[in-house]
Amino acid sequence: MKYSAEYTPPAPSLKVRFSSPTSTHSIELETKLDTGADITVLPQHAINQLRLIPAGRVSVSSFNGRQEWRYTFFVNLSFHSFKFPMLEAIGANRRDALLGRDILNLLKTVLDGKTLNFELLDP
Amino acid sequence: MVKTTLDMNDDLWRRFSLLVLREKGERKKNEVLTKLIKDYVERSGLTDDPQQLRYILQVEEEREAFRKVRDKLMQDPKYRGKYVAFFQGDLVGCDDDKGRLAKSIYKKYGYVPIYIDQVAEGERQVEVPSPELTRL
Repeated sequence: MKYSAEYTPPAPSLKVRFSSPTSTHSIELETKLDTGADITVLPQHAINQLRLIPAGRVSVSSFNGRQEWRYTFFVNLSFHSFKFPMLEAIGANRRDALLGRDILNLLKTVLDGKTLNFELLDP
Repeated sequence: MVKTTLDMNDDLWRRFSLLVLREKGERKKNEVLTKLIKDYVERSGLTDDPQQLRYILQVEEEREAFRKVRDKLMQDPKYRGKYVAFFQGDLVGCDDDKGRLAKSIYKKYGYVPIYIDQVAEGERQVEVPSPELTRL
Protein backbone atom coordinates (compact mmCIF):
# COMPACT_ATOMS: atom_id res chain seq x y z
CA MET A 1 0.00 0.00 0.00
CA LYS A 2 1.16 3.54 -0.72
CA TYR A 3 1.61 6.28 1.86
CA SER A 4 -1.01 8.98 1.52
CA ALA A 5 0.18 12.31 0.12
CA GLU A 6 -2.79 13.95 1.86
CA TYR A 7 -0.52 14.25 4.88
CA THR A 8 2.62 16.34 5.08
CA PRO A 9 4.95 14.52 5.26
CA PRO A 10 3.21 11.54 3.63
CA ALA A 11 1.82 8.99 6.08
CA PRO A 12 0.74 5.34 6.03
CA SER A 13 -3.00 5.50 5.69
CA LEU A 14 -5.76 3.26 4.41
CA LYS A 15 -9.52 3.04 4.10
CA VAL A 16 -11.11 1.34 7.10
CA ARG A 17 -14.78 0.42 7.40
CA PHE A 18 -16.39 1.13 10.76
CA SER A 19 -19.80 -0.09 11.86
CA SER A 20 -22.01 0.08 14.91
CA PRO A 21 -21.96 -3.01 17.19
CA THR A 22 -25.59 -3.84 16.52
CA SER A 23 -26.25 -2.50 13.04
CA THR A 24 -25.11 -3.20 9.52
CA HIS A 25 -24.85 0.53 8.84
CA SER A 26 -21.20 1.33 8.19
CA ILE A 27 -18.93 4.06 6.92
CA GLU A 28 -15.50 4.03 5.36
CA LEU A 29 -12.91 6.44 6.71
CA GLU A 30 -9.40 7.42 5.79
CA THR A 31 -7.39 6.03 8.71
CA LYS A 32 -3.81 6.86 9.54
CA LEU A 33 -1.54 4.34 11.25
CA ASP A 34 -0.39 5.84 14.54
CA THR A 35 2.06 3.71 16.49
CA GLY A 36 2.09 6.37 19.21
CA ALA A 37 -1.62 6.03 19.91
CA ASP A 38 -2.58 3.56 22.64
CA ILE A 39 -6.12 3.43 21.31
CA THR A 40 -7.93 3.81 17.98
CA VAL A 41 -9.51 7.22 17.43
CA LEU A 42 -12.73 7.96 15.53
CA PRO A 43 -13.78 11.37 14.24
CA GLN A 44 -16.80 12.79 16.07
CA HIS A 45 -18.77 13.03 12.80
CA ALA A 46 -18.44 9.24 12.38
CA ILE A 47 -19.71 8.68 15.93
CA ASN A 48 -22.74 10.83 15.15
CA GLN A 49 -23.35 9.17 11.77
CA LEU A 50 -23.14 5.64 13.19
CA ARG A 51 -25.24 6.69 16.22
CA LEU A 52 -22.65 5.11 18.50
CA ILE A 53 -23.45 5.08 22.20
CA PRO A 54 -20.70 5.89 24.72
CA ALA A 55 -19.72 3.03 27.00
CA GLY A 56 -16.83 4.37 29.04
CA ARG A 57 -14.53 7.26 29.77
CA VAL A 58 -10.74 7.51 29.73
CA SER A 59 -8.19 10.20 30.43
CA VAL A 60 -6.25 10.93 27.25
CA SER A 61 -2.74 12.45 27.29
CA SER A 62 -1.65 14.38 24.23
CA PHE A 63 1.88 15.10 23.00
CA ASN A 64 2.29 18.14 25.28
CA GLY A 65 1.18 16.26 28.38
CA ARG A 66 -2.24 17.86 28.38
CA GLN A 67 -4.90 15.48 29.69
CA GLU A 68 -8.56 15.45 28.83
CA TRP A 69 -11.50 13.14 29.27
CA ARG A 70 -12.86 11.32 26.25
CA TYR A 71 -15.78 8.94 25.99
CA THR A 72 -15.18 5.50 24.54
CA PHE A 73 -17.36 3.62 22.07
CA PHE A 74 -17.41 0.02 20.95
CA VAL A 75 -17.24 -0.33 17.19
CA ASN A 76 -16.59 -3.03 14.59
CA LEU A 77 -13.85 -2.27 12.11
CA SER A 78 -12.56 -4.01 9.03
CA PHE A 79 -10.05 -3.46 6.24
CA HIS A 80 -8.76 -5.79 3.55
CA SER A 81 -9.35 -9.28 4.97
CA PHE A 82 -9.03 -8.17 8.60
CA LYS A 83 -12.00 -7.88 10.93
CA PHE A 84 -11.89 -6.53 14.48
CA PRO A 85 -15.24 -6.72 16.26
CA MET A 86 -16.13 -4.77 19.41
CA LEU A 87 -13.07 -2.59 19.52
CA GLU A 88 -13.08 0.20 22.10
CA ALA A 89 -12.23 3.54 20.49
CA ILE A 90 -12.32 7.18 21.52
CA GLY A 91 -13.79 10.15 19.67
CA ALA A 92 -12.03 13.34 18.65
CA ASN A 93 -12.66 16.40 16.53
CA ARG A 94 -10.71 15.42 13.42
CA ARG A 95 -11.52 14.51 9.83
CA ASP A 96 -9.76 11.12 9.68
CA ALA A 97 -9.44 8.16 12.04
CA LEU A 98 -6.29 6.88 13.73
CA LEU A 99 -5.39 3.21 13.90
CA GLY A 100 -3.68 2.77 17.27
CA ARG A 101 -1.55 0.05 18.78
CA ASP A 102 -4.67 -1.71 20.06
CA ILE A 103 -4.99 -2.94 16.45
CA LEU A 104 -1.44 -2.56 15.15
CA ASN A 105 -0.10 -4.88 17.86
CA LEU A 106 -2.30 -7.64 16.46
CA LEU A 107 -0.60 -7.39 13.06
CA LYS A 108 2.81 -7.17 11.46
CA THR A 109 3.37 -3.65 10.16
CA VAL A 110 6.15 -2.92 7.66
CA LEU A 111 6.86 0.76 7.02
CA ASP A 112 9.13 1.62 4.12
CA GLY A 113 9.56 5.37 4.23
CA LYS A 114 12.17 5.27 1.48
CA THR A 115 9.65 4.12 -1.11
CA LEU A 116 6.57 5.42 0.75
CA ASN A 117 5.04 1.95 0.88
CA PHE A 118 3.69 -0.01 3.82
CA GLU A 119 2.24 -3.42 4.53
CA LEU A 120 -0.13 -4.79 7.15
CA LEU A 121 0.15 -8.55 7.53
CA ASP A 122 -1.02 -11.32 9.79
CA PRO A 123 1.67 -13.91 9.13
CA MET B 1 -32.05 30.47 28.52
CA VAL B 2 -30.70 29.45 31.92
CA LYS B 3 -30.15 31.89 34.76
CA THR B 4 -27.51 30.93 37.28
CA THR B 5 -25.45 32.35 40.13
CA LEU B 6 -21.71 32.11 40.62
CA ASP B 7 -19.70 32.13 43.84
CA MET B 8 -16.29 33.62 43.34
CA ASN B 9 -13.58 35.63 45.01
CA ASP B 10 -14.51 39.34 45.34
CA ASP B 11 -11.18 40.59 44.03
CA LEU B 12 -11.28 38.27 41.04
CA TRP B 13 -14.77 39.47 40.16
CA ARG B 14 -13.74 43.15 40.53
CA ARG B 15 -10.70 42.62 38.29
CA PHE B 16 -12.81 40.77 35.73
CA SER B 17 -15.43 43.55 35.80
CA LEU B 18 -12.77 46.20 35.33
CA LEU B 19 -11.23 44.37 32.38
CA VAL B 20 -14.59 43.89 30.67
CA LEU B 21 -15.50 47.54 31.26
CA ARG B 22 -12.15 48.65 29.83
CA GLU B 23 -12.20 46.36 26.80
CA LYS B 24 -15.89 45.94 25.99
CA GLY B 25 -17.78 48.72 27.71
CA GLU B 26 -20.72 48.79 30.13
CA ARG B 27 -23.00 45.77 30.77
CA LYS B 28 -20.97 43.29 28.73
CA LYS B 29 -19.97 40.83 31.49
CA ASN B 30 -22.73 38.41 30.52
CA GLU B 31 -21.57 38.44 26.90
CA VAL B 32 -17.94 37.82 27.87
CA LEU B 33 -18.84 35.00 30.27
CA THR B 34 -21.06 33.35 27.65
CA LYS B 35 -18.21 33.45 25.13
CA LEU B 36 -15.73 32.05 27.66
CA ILE B 37 -18.09 29.17 28.48
CA LYS B 38 -18.79 28.53 24.78
CA ASP B 39 -15.04 28.42 23.99
CA TYR B 40 -14.45 26.10 26.95
CA VAL B 41 -17.15 23.66 25.83
CA GLU B 42 -16.09 23.70 22.17
CA ARG B 43 -12.44 23.18 23.06
CA SER B 44 -13.40 20.07 25.03
CA GLY B 45 -14.77 18.48 21.87
CA LEU B 46 -17.99 17.53 23.66
CA THR B 47 -20.65 16.79 21.09
CA ASP B 48 -23.54 19.18 20.47
CA ASP B 49 -25.72 16.34 19.19
CA PRO B 50 -28.74 16.24 21.57
CA GLN B 51 -29.07 12.44 21.39
CA GLN B 52 -25.35 11.96 22.11
CA LEU B 53 -25.65 14.34 25.07
CA ARG B 54 -28.53 12.29 26.47
CA TYR B 55 -26.44 9.13 26.10
CA ILE B 56 -23.49 10.79 27.82
CA LEU B 57 -25.64 11.87 30.77
CA GLN B 58 -26.94 8.31 31.13
CA VAL B 59 -23.42 6.89 30.94
CA GLU B 60 -22.28 9.37 33.60
CA GLU B 61 -25.05 8.07 35.90
CA GLU B 62 -23.85 4.51 35.34
CA ARG B 63 -20.29 5.64 35.97
CA GLU B 64 -21.34 7.17 39.28
CA ALA B 65 -22.93 3.83 40.25
CA PHE B 66 -19.63 2.12 39.44
CA ARG B 67 -17.58 4.66 41.43
CA LYS B 68 -19.76 4.12 44.50
CA VAL B 69 -18.93 0.40 44.65
CA ARG B 70 -15.47 0.39 43.08
CA ASP B 71 -13.59 0.10 46.40
CA LYS B 72 -15.82 -2.78 47.46
CA LEU B 73 -15.28 -4.55 44.13
CA MET B 74 -11.53 -4.02 44.49
CA GLN B 75 -11.59 -6.16 47.64
CA ASP B 76 -13.31 -9.01 45.82
CA PRO B 77 -10.99 -11.33 43.85
CA LYS B 78 -13.95 -12.19 41.61
CA TYR B 79 -13.92 -8.62 40.25
CA ARG B 80 -10.49 -7.12 40.90
CA GLY B 81 -8.67 -6.40 37.64
CA LYS B 82 -11.65 -7.41 35.52
CA TYR B 83 -14.01 -5.34 33.42
CA VAL B 84 -17.48 -4.74 34.78
CA ALA B 85 -20.61 -3.35 33.14
CA PHE B 86 -23.21 -1.14 34.80
CA PHE B 87 -26.74 -0.63 33.52
CA GLN B 88 -29.53 1.22 35.33
CA GLY B 89 -27.31 1.51 38.41
CA ASP B 90 -26.64 -2.22 38.71
CA LEU B 91 -23.64 -4.37 37.99
CA VAL B 92 -24.86 -6.50 35.10
CA GLY B 93 -21.73 -8.24 33.85
CA CYS B 94 -18.07 -9.02 34.41
CA ASP B 95 -15.38 -10.36 32.08
CA ASP B 96 -11.62 -10.33 31.49
CA ASP B 97 -12.26 -8.99 27.99
CA LYS B 98 -14.08 -5.66 27.61
CA GLY B 99 -15.14 -6.32 24.00
CA ARG B 100 -16.65 -9.69 24.90
CA LEU B 101 -18.38 -8.08 27.87
CA ALA B 102 -19.86 -5.30 25.73
CA LYS B 103 -21.07 -7.82 23.16
CA SER B 104 -22.85 -9.95 25.78
CA ILE B 105 -24.45 -6.91 27.46
CA TYR B 106 -25.69 -5.44 24.17
CA LYS B 107 -27.07 -8.86 23.25
CA LYS B 108 -28.95 -9.08 26.54
CA TYR B 109 -30.20 -5.49 26.93
CA GLY B 110 -30.02 -4.09 23.41
CA TYR B 111 -27.83 -1.23 22.23
CA VAL B 112 -28.32 1.03 25.25
CA PRO B 113 -26.05 3.31 27.32
CA ILE B 114 -24.00 1.10 29.63
CA TYR B 115 -20.78 1.88 31.45
CA ILE B 116 -17.82 -0.47 31.22
CA ASP B 117 -14.68 0.03 33.27
CA GLN B 118 -11.91 -1.95 34.83
CA VAL B 119 -11.98 -2.67 38.55
CA ALA B 120 -8.66 -1.02 39.33
CA GLU B 121 -7.28 1.92 41.25
CA GLY B 122 -7.52 5.32 39.57
CA GLU B 123 -8.89 6.16 36.17
CA ARG B 124 -8.03 4.49 32.89
CA GLN B 125 -5.42 6.50 31.02
CA VAL B 126 -4.34 6.33 27.38
CA GLU B 127 -1.85 8.30 25.32
CA VAL B 128 -2.46 9.69 21.86
CA PRO B 129 0.68 11.77 21.68
CA SER B 130 1.50 12.29 18.01
CA PRO B 131 1.60 15.99 17.13
CA GLU B 132 0.28 16.80 13.66
CA LEU B 133 1.09 19.65 11.34
CA THR B 134 -1.88 21.51 9.93
CA ARG B 135 -2.06 24.22 7.35
CA LEU B 136 -4.44 26.96 8.43
